[in-house]
Amino acid sequence: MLDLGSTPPFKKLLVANRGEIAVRVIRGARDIGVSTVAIHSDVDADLPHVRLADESYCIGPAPSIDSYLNMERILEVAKAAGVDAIHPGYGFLAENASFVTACEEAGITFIGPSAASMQQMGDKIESRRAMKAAGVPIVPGTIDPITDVAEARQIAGEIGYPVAIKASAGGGGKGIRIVGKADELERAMRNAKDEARAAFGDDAVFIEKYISPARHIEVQLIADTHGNVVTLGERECSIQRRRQKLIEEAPSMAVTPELREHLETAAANVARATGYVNAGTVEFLVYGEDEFAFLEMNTRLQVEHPVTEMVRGVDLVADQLRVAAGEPIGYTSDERPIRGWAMECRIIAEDPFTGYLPSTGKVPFYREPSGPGVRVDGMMHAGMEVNVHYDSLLAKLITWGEDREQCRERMKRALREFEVLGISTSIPFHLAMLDDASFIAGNITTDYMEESFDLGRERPDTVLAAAFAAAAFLSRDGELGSAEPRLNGNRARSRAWGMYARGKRSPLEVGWRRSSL
Amino acid sequence: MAKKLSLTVGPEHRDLTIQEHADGSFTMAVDGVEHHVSLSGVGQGALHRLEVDGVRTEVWVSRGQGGLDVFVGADAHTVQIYRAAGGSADSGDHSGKVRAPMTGKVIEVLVQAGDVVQAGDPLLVIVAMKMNNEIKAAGDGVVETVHISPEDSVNQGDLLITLESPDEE
Repeated sequence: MLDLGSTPPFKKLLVANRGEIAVRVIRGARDIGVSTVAIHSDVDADLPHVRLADESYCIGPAPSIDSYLNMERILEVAKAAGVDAIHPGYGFLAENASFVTACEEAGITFIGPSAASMQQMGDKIESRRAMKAAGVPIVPGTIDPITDVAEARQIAGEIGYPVAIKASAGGGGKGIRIVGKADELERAMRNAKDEARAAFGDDAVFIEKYISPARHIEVQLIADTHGNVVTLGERECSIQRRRQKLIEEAPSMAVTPELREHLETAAANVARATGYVNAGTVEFLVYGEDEFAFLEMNTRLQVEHPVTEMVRGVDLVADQLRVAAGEPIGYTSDERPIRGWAMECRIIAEDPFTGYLPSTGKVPFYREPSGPGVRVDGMMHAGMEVNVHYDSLLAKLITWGEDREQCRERMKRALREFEVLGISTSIPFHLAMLDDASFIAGNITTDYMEESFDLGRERPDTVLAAAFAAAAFLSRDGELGSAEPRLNGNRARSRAWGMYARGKRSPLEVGWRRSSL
Repeated sequence: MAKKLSLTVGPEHRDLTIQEHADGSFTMAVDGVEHHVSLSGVGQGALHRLEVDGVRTEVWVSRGQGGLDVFVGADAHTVQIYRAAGGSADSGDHSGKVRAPMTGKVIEVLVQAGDVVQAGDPLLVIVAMKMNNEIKAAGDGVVETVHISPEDSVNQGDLLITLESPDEE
């Protein structure tokens, strides 16, 4: 039940995050009358979340370890600003149980589960143990963390390659390596541990069987302190690259009403068995004839939560705040039936034409799409510099349609409207995938994008366009009359390499490529 | 009346003839192929609409330190224009020079001088945006010089490793 007249669950909320999710949380809070406090590192002072919040504070330099992961500083600011709640978004401190405890000790409500239930679910090794005990199917593999390469090799040999090495504390595709054969194991383990340590401050890893082909399907739920667990159906997240989701949709073409019921029941059991309170997501691998296995539970808001919001008509951030304040959820799953179809494309600063290399630089012009059925959860503005300090998600483009086809067509239209100049983005990939026959048919598994999908297009050569634009620009301004070199005779030394590197020929393999001039 | 121009677009070079028409549009020829070009938009540091043979693209044009900065799609080009003759561009001897494809930090160097590498062999690992990226050799060769060490911060385009091609003259 929507009771818009009710009292706000909190007075003042600090959003311990940046980028699009900070903006999203601020909006959800504002919609129910909660005032907001933004924090930012010194390079982020100009970001939209800082400008949108009622108050904002700089909490340190760019490296996240000194800013967005700096618990003491964040709590200092929270106390000084007099907040009664902290929303962690996703990533950073969202799954850090000691932060939850520190909030409690400071008398501030953490928008999330209890430290104990976070510890249990956030630690993939512990959660595997709990699921096994609760009778929820899990992927075969180790129940205990491994540190020793020899031991890892032995276990991998037993369960059979390919295997996945996963950070116990991992999430968002970081700290995960798929290993096809024994001699790749050692380095994969080291890389997974490195990433896990950098991203989560914990380098424990475990090994499980890499089930392939499989779909990644997850169930959104929300649980309150009154014992209510409401499941909100599935999201299909099989379009991934390097374990990073790129396109998500709700519902899934692969999920029948029967399978949905099984998945939702399993997800609700997970929540009940662990006394979970908060919005949460239970991820499953779905394979074979409607078989499924528990992958992990994310005890936080997911990046892709908007697709559920679009088809179920809920505001998960507002619900999180109400539940954290001790209010009941106020609706049942049946009262929020699936309506229509929603998709999300993660617009990331990576170049699909050169092996998805991260792309950084100045964005002189930026324009988000809009119109019927289009939602953008973004963080960008024109003139911004995309830097290397944080992850590469620029915006989430979400479309809704009465059915999947209308949703897909709207997504294509919106992607074409989306204008980001100066850096590479995943938009060309998204456009190609949306027109891909297997995608249209819904025949997608987690390895589809990397193993079978062909981008089918070349990076546009923009050199000639730039030459034409420059010549036309200067001619119009009457600057082509003289015999002198225009605009200063020196070569563009400072930027020449930048052009080369950012131009059309900068694949990972830069060894022997001859210039094709 | 057509003018002959010589342009550098980043490291690339183009010769171009340009003729302005009464309606403000242009005929531009490159390599003997003529194109009909128009540019609408006002001022520098602004968005313009470029139309080439009926195909429209949005471009951003601003005056930069090293020339005219033209942003087209994902690319940022610095363009310099000379009247005909001269302006020979770098001929692009990129062979053997492994440059950083992204800005980030080197966390692991997997080869040393003298190592024989084959196409696809990982050379080093750069961490950027929290992801470890393996930089691989594009062709077979011998490592001549390693210019970086673990923990070095590198900018996009920085020289990382020089390879000697086995078939080099």
